[in-house]
Amino acid sequence: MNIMRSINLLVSCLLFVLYAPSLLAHGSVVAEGDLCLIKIGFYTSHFKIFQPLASKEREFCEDIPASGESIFVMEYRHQELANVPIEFRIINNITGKGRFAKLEDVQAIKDIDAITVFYQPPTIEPQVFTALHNFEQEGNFLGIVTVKHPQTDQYYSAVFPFSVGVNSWGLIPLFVCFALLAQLIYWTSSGGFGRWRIATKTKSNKRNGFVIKCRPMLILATSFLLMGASSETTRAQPSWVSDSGSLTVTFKSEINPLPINQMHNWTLHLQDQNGMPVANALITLTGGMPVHNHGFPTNPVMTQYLGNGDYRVEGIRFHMQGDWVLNLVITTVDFMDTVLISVTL
Amino acid sequence: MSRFGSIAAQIKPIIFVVGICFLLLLILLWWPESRPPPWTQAEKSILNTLNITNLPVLKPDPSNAVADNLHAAKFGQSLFFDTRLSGNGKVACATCHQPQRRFSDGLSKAVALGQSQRNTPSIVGSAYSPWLYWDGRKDSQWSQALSPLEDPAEQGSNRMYLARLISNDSFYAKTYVELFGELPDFNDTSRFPENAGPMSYPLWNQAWLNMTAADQYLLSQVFANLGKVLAAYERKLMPGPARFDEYVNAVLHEDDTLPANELFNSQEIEGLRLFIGEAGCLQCHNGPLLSNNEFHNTGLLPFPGEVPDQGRSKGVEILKNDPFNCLGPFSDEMSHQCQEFTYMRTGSVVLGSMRTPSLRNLGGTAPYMHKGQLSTLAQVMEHYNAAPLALIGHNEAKPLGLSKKQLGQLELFLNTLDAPLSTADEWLLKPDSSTLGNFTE
Repeated sequence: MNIMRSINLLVSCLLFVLYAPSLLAHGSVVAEGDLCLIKIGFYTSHFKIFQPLASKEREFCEDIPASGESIFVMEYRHQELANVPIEFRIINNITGKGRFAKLEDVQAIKDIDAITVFYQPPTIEPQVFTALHNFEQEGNFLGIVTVKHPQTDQYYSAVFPFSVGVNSWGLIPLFVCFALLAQLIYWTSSGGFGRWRIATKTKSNKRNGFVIKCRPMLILATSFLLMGASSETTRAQPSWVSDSGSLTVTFKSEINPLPINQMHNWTLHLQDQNGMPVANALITLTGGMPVHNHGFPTNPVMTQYLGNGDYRVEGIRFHMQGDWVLNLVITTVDFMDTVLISVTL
Repeated sequence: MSRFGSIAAQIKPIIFVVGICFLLLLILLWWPESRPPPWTQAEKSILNTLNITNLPVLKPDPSNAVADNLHAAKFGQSLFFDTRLSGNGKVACATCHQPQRRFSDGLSKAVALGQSQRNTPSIVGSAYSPWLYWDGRKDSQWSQALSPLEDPAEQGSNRMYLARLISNDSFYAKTYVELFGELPDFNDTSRFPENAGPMSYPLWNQAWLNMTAADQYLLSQVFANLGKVLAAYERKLMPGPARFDEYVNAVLHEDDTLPANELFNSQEIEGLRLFIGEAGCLQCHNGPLLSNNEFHNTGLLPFPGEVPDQGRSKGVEILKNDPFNCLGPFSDEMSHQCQEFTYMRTGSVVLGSMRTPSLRNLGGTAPYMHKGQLSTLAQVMEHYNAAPLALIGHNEAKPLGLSKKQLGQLELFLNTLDAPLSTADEWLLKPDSSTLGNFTE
């Protein structure tokens, strides 16, 4: 027990030491959970740096481990960023303030172009901001993102200090080594090695016990799989009741059975509890495959009321087999209701 | 010592016999399991959906009035192989879309007058796709065929030069007039300069801007018609039945054809089982062409020296502003339906996504993916097995956790999809100039 406790203590110390740098994020880039955010005035955006040649899809928040090709990515949290020009500049950090350099320090620099290592002029990027710079040398840098206010002439800048290839761990690796060594000495001197040998002898018994314990779970999992397989054969129901219970929806596809990879149209029929057709409703459609976490490949639209509770919906296409759902929002002057239609292809 | 030695000598044959028996027993126990289990009825119906015999009859292209005209196809074939259609007189469509490589070029990114932005996709079977290019920035084959002609990195020509080339070539001019009516008279150099075209070299662009809108329209009309005859040719390029299709036919009609097991070995069968099951490939690679022609982000790393490719999200914007799209003035689609265009999905949901390519042309089309980032199928398998995080947008694929052996089986199966085109050989060559104008059905 004593050992466990000290291991716990060590692990928590280690964790703290390891994560401390991200807690101490500086400048305009801040850590929020697993994500990095950059704050540019009132705008916020996700921020990440990649070095695909050196470390593939590994994501960095600020400091990057080596010189070489680096890609800066901002995925907007504030959608207004999609409509305004974004300017990006990287300069050598000559402020003398290191990691605590701020916008004022940058503004105090007389000839910023002389120390600029990368500059991307203001451009509007509607989906995502990307920039690529090949760092030829390691060192300490400042990133500056400048964005204009959508209406006024006000400009906002974000400044974030970061290092390239400079060991930012400081004394941490040394501390970890000492801590591990101290732990090892304590452990062996307190007879830990002997206890470990006894413990390994009983391990094989435990392992058998694990398999036996897992067996019911295996059976359960298999039966789930079987249930999943059998549900593939169930056919779509002919009608769906709205969430409030007051509407019944049926559909007719112009192509039957429902095709894959083919654009086609539907006729939706709406009726109330008394079986009377519902006229003059507005229907909006969204949907997709919840299992695969994606939407429709198209944007289907209700284009016409055909009379007698029938509505024409155009632009439906399914691009794979499986379970699809359509969420219908039905609005009339009297009510709003929602229906979830599920179909299996 | 000698006593022990004699005992050992007596035991030796016994050990030998017991050993052999044990081995035989092991083989006997292992053997039936190594044979792949038969396909279930549900699996058979999935296999049938991939069968090339289920490829539907190609629907007419309402945006192209000459799509199924044989004369147009012959005209298009000549243009396809004609290097005069380029700025330096050395690059034809067939330079990058090489018939012997399933109409691709074997390069990561195409090299013509310059280097293009992406990997050359195969044209085979592309008539079935509502979208062309990796990012779907074109919505018809004819509109797609126009871009490389004027792209400075590709054929680097201009529509003025091309229109004059057509009117000065007797076969081209004759066929053009027959299909589309009279060509404008390009002799008036005050109206029609030597070279002119939008979005090209500054001088040609300026010459284009100096033309009247009416003359620009005349020229673009001729230009669009060249795309339409090229498309009439490209519509003929279709994949042929592969060993995979023979296997599926054998599985579905076990009585009267070759036994299925002679067509596929157990590794290929297991690969196919993974393909339609655990590996989830069918999510995108479905139907007889093994493509849903939709756009998906699969987390590929960018090409060295480039920022991540935004793919479809940019392609959509280009398509909307393209005068040669389905709703544009040069489209023959009179009802203005253009459903694919009208109801296309836009915005950040398609960020970083690229069109699913058919798997029927793998044979000659390496390297793979939109920038040719992966040079072998084995690398492609490893990529999907790992399903890494996407640099932009999100990777729709999930890690598969398949073993090396299983990835190898998948690859072996994919190789069974390779087959020569079903198109007649005469369409796969540069047409002989002596036979030009001789049309045979």
